[in-house]
Amino acid sequence: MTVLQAIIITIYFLFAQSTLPFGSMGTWATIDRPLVAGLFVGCVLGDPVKGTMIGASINIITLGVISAGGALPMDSGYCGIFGTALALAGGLSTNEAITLAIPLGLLGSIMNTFTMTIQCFFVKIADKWIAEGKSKLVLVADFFLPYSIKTIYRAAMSFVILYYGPAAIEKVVAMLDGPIVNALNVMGGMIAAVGLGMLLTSIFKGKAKYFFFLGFLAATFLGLATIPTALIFGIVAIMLVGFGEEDFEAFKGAADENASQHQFKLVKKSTIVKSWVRWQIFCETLYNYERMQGIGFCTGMVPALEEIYKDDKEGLIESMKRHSMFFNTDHDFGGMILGMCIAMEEQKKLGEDIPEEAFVSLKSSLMGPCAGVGDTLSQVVLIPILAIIFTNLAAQGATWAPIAYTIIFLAIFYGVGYWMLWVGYKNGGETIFKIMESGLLDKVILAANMLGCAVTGQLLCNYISFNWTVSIVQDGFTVFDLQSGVFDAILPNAMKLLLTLGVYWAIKKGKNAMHVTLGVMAIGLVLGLLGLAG
Amino acid sequence: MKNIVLTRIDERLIHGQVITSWLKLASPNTIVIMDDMSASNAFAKRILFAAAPKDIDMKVLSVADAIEYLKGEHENERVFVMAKVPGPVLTAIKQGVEFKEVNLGNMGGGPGRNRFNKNVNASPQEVAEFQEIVEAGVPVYAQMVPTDAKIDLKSLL
Repeated sequence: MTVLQAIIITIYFLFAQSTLPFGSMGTWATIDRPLVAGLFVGCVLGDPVKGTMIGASINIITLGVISAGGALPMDSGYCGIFGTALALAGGLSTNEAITLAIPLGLLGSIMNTFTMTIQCFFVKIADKWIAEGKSKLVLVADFFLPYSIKTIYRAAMSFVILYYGPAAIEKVVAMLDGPIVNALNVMGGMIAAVGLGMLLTSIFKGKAKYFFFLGFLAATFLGLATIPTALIFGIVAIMLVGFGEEDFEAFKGAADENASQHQFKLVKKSTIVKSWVRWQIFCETLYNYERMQGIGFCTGMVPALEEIYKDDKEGLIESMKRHSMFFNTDHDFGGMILGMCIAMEEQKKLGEDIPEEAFVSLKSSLMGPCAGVGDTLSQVVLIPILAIIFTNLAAQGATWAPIAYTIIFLAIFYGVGYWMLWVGYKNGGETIFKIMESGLLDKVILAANMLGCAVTGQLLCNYISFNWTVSIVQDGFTVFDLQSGVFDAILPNAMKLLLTLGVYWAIKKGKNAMHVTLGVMAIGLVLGLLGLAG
Repeated sequence: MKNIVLTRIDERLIHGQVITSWLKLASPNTIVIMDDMSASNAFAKRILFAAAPKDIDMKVLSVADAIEYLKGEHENERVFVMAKVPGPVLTAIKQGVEFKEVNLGNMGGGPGRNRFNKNVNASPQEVAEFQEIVEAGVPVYAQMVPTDAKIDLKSLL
């Protein structure tokens, strides 16, 4: 890899790990994903098609990674960007690339914990400036200061990995001989089971379970590909769940209920949009263990608060203080809460009696439940379903698939988010609460789980590779072959199914995801070294 | 005494990790929220009900009512008990509710609270309450999501 290539990929990595250009969730769900990163890295290294295919394969192992405030077992950016780059530059096979992506993802996970820990320091700085009423500086503490430090260590690490990594990998590969190369490939072939098993822990539930086995059987015996599986079982799911007109009642008529009497009296529409954009971009730039998105929420509120309290410094300080407390929720629902808070601040300034506790209780009551619904919709429904469909296309070499994935995700995520902002500001979230109460979302989630399970059952046949190479040969004739004679005769892909369910059960039984990953790799290593599988 | 399948202390009560992971793993059919504020605040109550999956029997109760419910006769409930802070759990233990173990999620930072472990910030009084829970023979472990490693609170106290 040339210096220039390493620098360009490092710049991409810095963006992918930040919240620019597409906002916090927007960036994390798109350019940070191996699916999208593979295409970019492939373009830089001169082989977009191969880059896209490797990125897509690595993407499978990150399918089950859900960010809901906990430590992620694997960082998708590290796996995808470095994994694809090192695989292309070091001339690795797809399975070897997946094997390599695991330690890289782990490194990323450790780095994230480190970042969240040191960022607590900047919270103190933010608090100080908030107390002094320096509203312009909140963004500096929330974004510029932590990023100046993060950028230095991230850039240095990325450049070292990219520039020196390929040569090191080539050297190591040259030293490896038959059994070890075989073992690396067996391991890489099995690891997709970890991603799919982890994904199952959030969707394998109730009636959706049947769909998992149906998808598996459809792929095994009918040879059904991913898209037809998704379409057929998607329609069956919608039919079974049964949506009626009454499910959509909540959308009608509620729009003007509870409308604030003081809309846009103190704060311009464009300022509210500005606040929302700042929330979407900066909500997690200072993500830390003490306040989570607390300072990020304040950063979003600042433009609106500055306008509402433009002649009242005391009021500005008090309002910034109450909006920088511990906060953590889904990003689109967070936008709705932001809209609600702006409307309440406006009414308070106009003389309505709204005590401090009203804000505290509103935000603390809403953040959890909204994250529960929002994380499920975005990370269990939207991202996996889009990712599964487009990853499958990308794995076959469709370089347009990552771009289409990015555009569709951003359009849905921000389309819904912008609508939610105004539901929050104009009618206090009423329409959304009615939808939550109506049971419509449960139906949508159930249908999505069914579809997701069917496709997971189908995918495991294609993306896990595992073959027994145990056979007995007499006089040049194979008299017994475990794979073709036993497994293929009874139920082809049976081992892949067992492996996926094994990962699911282990995690369900409370085993740590990293331990499960390492366990699967250890099994692959042993079977590969002994030549029992290949 | 009801069958308690999971007990979690988390300031956010129902939230992303609970819906996307814990509910799937523990498969409860009843959720009991032990929180005086939520039980008396109509808005908080409404939102908790709105966020809970509709096939789960949701109960938002004051600490006293929750204890009474948990001590009631077992039918076929699989109860997931949630509280914001250790206090309600300790009260329940003192009044004879049996917990196998307590899962600890998130407690945010703020005035009077010190960082205790990654996601857990606690005041000295809350730390003492955790201590009492552990001393009563109920293990407390910090674990945000099921895929995280369990950290025994004993090692942190």
